[in-house]
This record gives sequence, structure tokens and C-alpha cells, in this order.
Amino acid sequence: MRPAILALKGVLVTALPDELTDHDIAEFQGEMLRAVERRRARGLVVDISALEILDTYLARSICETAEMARLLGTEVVVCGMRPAVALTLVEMGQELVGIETALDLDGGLAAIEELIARRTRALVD
Amino acid sequence: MAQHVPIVREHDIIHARKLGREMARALGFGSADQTRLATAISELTRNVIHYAGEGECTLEDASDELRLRVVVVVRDHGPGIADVERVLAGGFSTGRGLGAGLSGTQRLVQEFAITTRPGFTEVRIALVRGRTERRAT
Amino acid sequence: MTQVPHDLRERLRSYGLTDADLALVRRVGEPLAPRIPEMVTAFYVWLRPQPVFARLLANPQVHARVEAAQRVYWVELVEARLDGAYLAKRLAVGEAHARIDLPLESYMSAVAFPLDWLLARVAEATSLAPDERTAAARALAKLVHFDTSLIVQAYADRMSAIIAEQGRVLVEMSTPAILVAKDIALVPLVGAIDAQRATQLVEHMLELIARTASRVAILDVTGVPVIDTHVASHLLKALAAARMLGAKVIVTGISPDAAQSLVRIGADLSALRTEGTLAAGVEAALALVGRRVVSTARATHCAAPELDA
Repeated sequence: MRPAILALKGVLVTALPDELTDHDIAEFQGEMLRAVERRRARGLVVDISALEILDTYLARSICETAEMARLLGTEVVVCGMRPAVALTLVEMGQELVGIETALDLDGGLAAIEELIARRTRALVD
Repeated sequence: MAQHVPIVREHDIIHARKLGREMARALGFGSADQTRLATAISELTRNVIHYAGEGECTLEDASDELRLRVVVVVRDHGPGIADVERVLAGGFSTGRGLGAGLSGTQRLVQEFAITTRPGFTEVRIALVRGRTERRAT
Repeated sequence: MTQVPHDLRERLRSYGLTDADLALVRRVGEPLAPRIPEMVTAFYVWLRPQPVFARLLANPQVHARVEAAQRVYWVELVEARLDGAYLAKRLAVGEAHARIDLPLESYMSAVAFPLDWLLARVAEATSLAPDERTAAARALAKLVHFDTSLIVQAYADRMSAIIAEQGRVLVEMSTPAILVAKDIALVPLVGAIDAQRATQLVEHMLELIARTASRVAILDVTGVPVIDTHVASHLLKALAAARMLGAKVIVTGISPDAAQSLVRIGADLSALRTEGTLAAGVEAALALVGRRVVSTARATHCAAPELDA
């Protein structure tokens, strides 16, 4: 399943569809990282608003993807998490550690800019 | 009244949890509860695929006049879980494997029982709500 | 549906009702069944003068319908065919009585008449040996007691359902979405919070944040008299979930007792952002979204963006 990836001023935006198999997840990860590298993206926003269920496996995969992207020099933000999904993750004790989140796409893009600005300031200091 | 889902391929994880969500919805559980049950089923059936290769999942409406109850049993004939007490208590929140899914699942449901030994593992969970408890969603 | 549901078996057991008891009831009940109409007529003669019943039975059609239903009720009781259908019918009767607002106490005291009548008939049953009469009377008393408990349960369920529904309405009324400014929602919590309401509130607040796309939510708990460790842990759960959604939460109005509860849970409070007053909370929220309140007298000298009207 090839993910649709949009590019907006150097920031890549993609949405995860619902009902992903482990295979799909692995493919997605690969595709996203390849796209990040190919486009030399400054940021990647992953919209998860279609996901009705986020179990520990998928949560870990998302975290991994973010870590990998950051190693490639790209900031990552996850947006659109459903309230019931957030609640379930918290109850399971599976909070997405180390991932920046936003309520929606607008917030996601703004967060990317903020993260990039922060990174630049850190480099300057 | 019980629905059986063989867990053999990855797609069966999705199938089983969809059934679970649908059953919970039909019985009158709120959307947060539907998500909890579907997530728990996802964890358990995924463990089956990853660690035992194959197994089965049974979903049953065990409600009575006082309570809504959905019972889900996930069974396999895999290698079993060594040191299950530690796995459940551990709350391996940074891990991705068996421990994280199992202890997480336990926190989502009201009833949780596990039997495991080499060659057989059965996890029995139930989502239970009093009929008079209403949810905002 | 002649199978006895597992649950019903358990209940009968806990009320001390055996198959032998039920068989005895059926045996003494058989000659009594044709006399039930006579009993019910006498029952209503006794019932009508009581004010609460006089009101309910004022309409003759209602009275006739109700009497007919009573006859069926008591015939079914002495027939003692206990199965799932019986259980369901009894619960429905209870629900119907609760719905018309007949006080439970009135229902319970009214049952005294038919029970007394039945026991008097058993005492007169010369076709039975004395010890059989005693056993039959005991079985009948146990059955009526069990039967009445179903009615009581139906009343209790209905009452709980009403309370729960009111609670739901209360949750929605007490957690209105007040958009202080674009991206900032004020969520004032008012009133006592128990475990059930706490769970409802958490889900409601998260839905609200997602729906209004509020980057900051100010959760004001000034109006909550008691926040114990249970409610406190629900609140912390809500905050963690809100953070995961991508919103920041500022809690205002924490009382000293509530502060104790929060700390006692032993959870990590480093991410918990609080302010002493609601006003401070609003200012902090504005700062978080990059805005602030400015006096209009100085507006012309202000380079920073102003509060949107």
C-alpha cells in the first residue's frame, strides 16, 4: 500500500489509513523515510485521524519512524489523534514518548515550524 | 451466540477487532469502551500471530439484566509465556513486545484471566459495564 | 424458552427456593387458580380507599386493565413456572409500576394482602397433611419474597437509569465549551465528582478539545468541592490524554486538599501546569498561543498581537 505523500514547502504530509496490517505498517515506514530522504524534507506530518485503533505495536512503529526521520534531519509531528485513542493509550500506559503531537493539520504544520526554529536556536547556542 | 475467528493471517487481527467493536457497539457500549475492547483484541491476536503463529479468537455476548458484558477468549498452541507474572506486573511501557501488549490490555478491561504453559495459552477478557452507567459519548 | 437461565438458577438458590418448593406451590396452587379472580376483587376493594391507589385507579378503564393484569400475575405465581420469560415479565411489571411513579413502599405493602390470602388458603387445605401444609406455606412465602425482589430490582434499575441520565445531562451542562479566544477552551467543572462522573468528564473533555481544536484547555476546578485521589488520578489521565492529542492543559482553582490528593497519588506531576486563579490561567493560556491581553489605552504603542475580540 503506497502512502499518498504531499509536499508543502519542504514539509511532507501523509495520512495513515485505518486497518493497517503489520506489512502495511512496515511498507509505510519505508516509503515515508525514502520520501523524506528524496525530497530532503524539513518536516513530516503524519495524520492519524483515520485510525480508530492504535495498539502498542502501531504506537511503537510510529515512534520508531519518527526517530528514524529525525536521524535524517527531519522534524516529525503526529496530528489528528482521536480522543478515544488517546485515552486508551494513556490507560494502557503507552503514551507516545518523545513525539510531538498536534490536534489537526494546521497545528501540525505550525508545530513543524516551531520544532525547526527550536532546533536552529539550539544549533546557534 | 459466540463468534469464532480463526487467527491465522495478519488480516484476522483486523477482522477480530472489527467484530469486537461492532459487538460492543450493538450492545450499547460507548465509543471509548468500543475502542478499549477493539484495542485489547488487537493486542491479544497480534501476540498470537507474532508468538504462536496461529490461534483462535472467540467473542461472546455474556450480558444479563444488570450488566453489559462482552467476553473475548484468545487461544493458541504456541510456546506459552514464560514468567507471565513478571510480564503482567512489569508494565513494559517502552517495549514493543508481548509484555507491553499484555499488561496494557489488562488495564483496559474489567475481567482478565490468563492460562499459559508450553503448548497452550488462553487469555480471557471481558468488558463489563452496569446497564445504568451511561457514557457521555 | 423453557430453559432456566443459569442466572435464574443462581437467584433461586440464593432465595432458598428448591424444585421441591416449586412443585409444592404448583400442587396447592392448582385448586387456588380458579379462585384468584375472587381474591383480586377483594384486593382492590381493600386497595382503593388508600389515597395513592385511589388516584391511580380513578379511571375505570385503567382500573379494569390493571385488575385483569393482577389476575394473570397471581395465577402465574401459583403456577410457578419459573423460566427466563417469567423473569423478564416480572421485571417488566416492576418497571411499569415504577414508571407510573407508584411509590415502592406502596407496592410492597400492597403485596401483603395477596400473600396473606394465599397463606390462609394453604392453612385451610385439608387435602394436605399438616406438615405438607407447613412446607407449602413456607414455599409460597419464599416464592412471593423472591417474586417481589424482582419488582424491587426493576425499581432500583429504573431509578439508577434516571440518575445516570441526569448525570449525563449534568456532565454536558457542567462542562460547556467556553471558547475564551481562538484555540483556547475554558472547561469549568462544577459540583461533586464521583468515579463514574469522573470517567464521563474525562471522555467529554477530550471530545471537546478535539471538536473545537483548542490548543489550550483551561480546566477550572474551583467549583468542585472534593477531589480525592481517585478523581485526581482520573484528572491526571485526562491531562495525559489531552497532551497526546496535542493540546496543553492548565488547571486552575486547585484547593489545598485537592493539591494533597494530587501529590498523594505519587504520579509524575512535572507536566502538570497550574495557575492560582482563573485570570492567571487565561493569561498563561494566551501566552502559550502567542497572544496577550493589552490595555487599549496603550494599543498604539503595542507591537505584539492583541487579544482577538
